[in-house]
Amino acid sequence: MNDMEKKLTQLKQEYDSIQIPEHGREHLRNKINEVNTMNDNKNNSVLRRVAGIAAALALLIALPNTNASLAAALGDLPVVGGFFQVVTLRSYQYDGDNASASIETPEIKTEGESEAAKQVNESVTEYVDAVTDDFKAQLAEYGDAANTDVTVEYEVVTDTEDWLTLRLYTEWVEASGAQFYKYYNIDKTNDKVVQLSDLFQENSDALTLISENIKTQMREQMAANENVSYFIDSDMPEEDFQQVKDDQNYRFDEDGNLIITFDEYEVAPGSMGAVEFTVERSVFESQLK
Amino acid sequence: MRPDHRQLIEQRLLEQYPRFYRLAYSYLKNEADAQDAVQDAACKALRSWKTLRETKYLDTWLYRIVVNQSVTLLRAKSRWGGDETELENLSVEDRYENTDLLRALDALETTDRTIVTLRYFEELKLSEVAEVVQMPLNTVKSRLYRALEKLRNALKEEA
Repeated sequence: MNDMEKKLTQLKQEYDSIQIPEHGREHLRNKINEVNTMNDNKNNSVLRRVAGIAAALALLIALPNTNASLAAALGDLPVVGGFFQVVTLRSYQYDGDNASASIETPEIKTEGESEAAKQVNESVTEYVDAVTDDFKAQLAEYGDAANTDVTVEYEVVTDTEDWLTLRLYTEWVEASGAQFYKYYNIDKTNDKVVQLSDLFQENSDALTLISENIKTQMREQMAANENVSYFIDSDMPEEDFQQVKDDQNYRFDEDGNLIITFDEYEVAPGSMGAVEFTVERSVFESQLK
Repeated sequence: MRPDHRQLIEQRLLEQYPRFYRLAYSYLKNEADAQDAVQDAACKALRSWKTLRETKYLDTWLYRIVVNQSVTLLRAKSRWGGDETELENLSVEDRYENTDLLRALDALETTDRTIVTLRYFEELKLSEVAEVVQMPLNTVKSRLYRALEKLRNALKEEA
């Protein structure tokens, strides 16, 4: 053992013998109780709302991605197509020394009536309002010492003849940050909000095929670049990435390939941030509805 | 996101109090500040439990908050503290015999110091350290080796 290792080991022993204050834990418990009492008044925190809304959406969501020309030929389906426009409905800005917010609420405008657009608009507004309220509550409670920075932005990530995909990005930074995306996919032809699993035939193994494809890509990327790391083939297989969720965030690119996206920590360490994978259409095409 | 995360956080904070306290103490070097840092960290954690995405990150997430809080307090103190170094040395020499290495450790860049502390004193796995400091594993490795090199040199100079 060299000199420094010896010293490090001694230092570790000294570190371990740092004395814990007699009433430290008790004080901490009191503090926790105090915080909890304060918190009980504002129990509607953001992420619980996100979860709630995602669940609500899953309920609303249904149905097939019939081919556009077929739908048009049938003639009896409400073909909305054409004019979908996404505009900023309202914007909330706050800029303080230790707290800031930049929150935008998008709205989908359509030429005619669109049930899908209406659903998404309602869901988006409810969510963004909730985030804004949470931020304001934080400000009311802690003033400018809130140390909270909140961003909500939107982007139309896909707008083809058949699909409109609106992406909502939320960043909530406090002691540490959280970022997450929510994708709303509108099948313009059928005027439906569609989640990933609803793209495919019943009893299809498309989600497995897609997941396996993603795993292969993960392994390839990790082999090619040592800075890349995903939750796969680890010592704890039960915590590895298993399969995409029924309501996994996705969108189509121009060529009809699927782009599957994961929030940070979902399939990779936080250092990787949010990640996405393109799955070639040939992988799942035969399974589409 | 389940609401019971909050309870879990609470429980872990209390269970692991000694570890969080020692970690804070290793930055702040006095009892009152270390207690404050852990309490502040607890408040932050309980207020922002929603940013904890999965419970498997609970420990590294809490470590991260404790480290941030300690470093913030340390910086605030050096801004307001005036004769801070003298105070620090007093309490340090009270407890530590290996002041030369300790001082070299304190002289490291904050992140490097955190990496060394978590790895050698808290005995976290490198992958966990990477989660705490939110850097790629390989960056953490190379920073750790570089930091050890610096410590070695500092000791040589002193010797």
